[in-house]
Amino acid sequence: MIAFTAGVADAQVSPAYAGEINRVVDQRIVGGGGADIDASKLRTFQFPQTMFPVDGGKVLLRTYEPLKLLMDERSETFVVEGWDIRLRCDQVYELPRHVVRKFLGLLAKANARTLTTSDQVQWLSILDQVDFKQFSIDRAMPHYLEGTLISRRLGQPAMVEWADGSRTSLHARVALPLTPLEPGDDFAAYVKLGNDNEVVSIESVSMLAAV
Amino acid sequence: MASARTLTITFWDVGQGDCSTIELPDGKLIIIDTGNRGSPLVDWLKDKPRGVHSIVITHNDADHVGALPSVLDACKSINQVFMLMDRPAAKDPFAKLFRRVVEGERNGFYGLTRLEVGAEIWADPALDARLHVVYPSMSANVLAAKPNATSGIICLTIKSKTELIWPGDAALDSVSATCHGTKPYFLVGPHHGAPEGYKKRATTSGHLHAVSPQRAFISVGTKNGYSHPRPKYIRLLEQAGAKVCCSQLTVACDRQHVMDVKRPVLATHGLLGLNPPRSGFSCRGPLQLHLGPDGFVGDGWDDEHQKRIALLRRPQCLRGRAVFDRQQAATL
Repeated sequence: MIAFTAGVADAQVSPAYAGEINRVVDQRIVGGGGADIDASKLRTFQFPQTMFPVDGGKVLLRTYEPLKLLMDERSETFVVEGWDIRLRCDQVYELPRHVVRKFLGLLAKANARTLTTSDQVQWLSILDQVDFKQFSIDRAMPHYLEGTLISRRLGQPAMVEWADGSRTSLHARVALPLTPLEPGDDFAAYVKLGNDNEVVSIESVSMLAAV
Repeated sequence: MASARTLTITFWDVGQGDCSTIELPDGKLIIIDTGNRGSPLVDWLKDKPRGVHSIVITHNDADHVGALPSVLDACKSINQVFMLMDRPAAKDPFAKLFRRVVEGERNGFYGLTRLEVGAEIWADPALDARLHVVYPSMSANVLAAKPNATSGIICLTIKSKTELIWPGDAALDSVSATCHGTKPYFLVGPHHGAPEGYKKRATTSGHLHAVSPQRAFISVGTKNGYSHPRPKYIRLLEQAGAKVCCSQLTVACDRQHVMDVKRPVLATHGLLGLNPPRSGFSCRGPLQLHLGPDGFVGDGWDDEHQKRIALLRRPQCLRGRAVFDRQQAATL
């Protein structure tokens, strides 16, 4: 019976994600067949971990589905389908690191517009498997935004009207940096935005003077 | 890559909004509309700070200009900002949105220029290329009842031929009147695939045939409350001979994909080294054009995109194209 324990190697995981990751790394790789293995055939396995820590766990690279591992019994190696990663079976614990390394390497080439034709094929296959949007949003730097504080009560959500006229209700914890402001005050801040422009955090708040 | 003596034009996927950039031969950027608040252009500029030749704001709608303060903050340097200065200066929220623009201009960080017919944004004699404004006139700008009616129309001409048109949210009759007979390579929108007056089939078809673009890009968000783009308009565009693609997928093309699958049709952002938008699911995503010796060439992902949209339930662009192909076959 083949069973590997997947692990997250050398990564300090942010407490916010630790629970999520531990749930998956404690699982075992699920075999594609029974206990008897035909050595002449490649066997398919799933790697159950779908979240891979980047930046020491501050950001996660998520795959939509568990990765497929094609194992060659004779050479005791496996390849990750669509990723061009080949490892020895006893190095499966290194897989998360190799997945992130491959992803970051191709991302750097895409950013520099130096992808070769074969890189492009591989990058397309990888982008079909990972949530690139969530990764990019999680990794993005805060945006400079201007707005007006509409209402705020201690421990209650605060209402802000941004310069484009849209209004957002901010969770009391997120709105904490706005504490010095009074309703009606115009302010500028660096705002970390999430999915659908949800405000994740606010920093470097300053009040705006009329021009 | 924007190598010596070429242009790279990127039509960004910003969700429901508009944003394009032109990378000039000297590496500087021209930004035509910034997209809405949270625009991926800001993320990209923060990762790769660039000098900016000009920022052009076609009109004062939040989905075209909402990210302006963030873009101004993220740019390394800016030469000029072109905008409709005669529009509601005293009216919120635009007074607030443009506060930072005015502040920067007063501090001498860049010049502020009125966007009106005749204004030349950029020109390169070596490429024989020119980016200029063909609409609105000052009177049309002042007298317009709604922001869309005064939307700027920007044209890129190469060797005296109009190749690309950015009409913002302008009405089709304005586009047709100012760009009649130009037969451009590329038309953006207008108005996220639902320009004013599109319901009148005969006149819309007439306007589109008058302009005759080869390709059209609809910048639209999966999550938009206006039912953009209108399938009828996409079909009319295709029937006028334009190959259409949309930045994001909408329920009109495949409700199940939007509601259940929740993945991009093609993650072009990653392929092109760009940042994805914060909402919606990409269909074509962003699109890039490069100016080569024989004119503009695409980014190489059109075939892959076509292959994938053929698997969608009701891709509106392909439906229109099928009608066009039948008409062509009948003509032959």
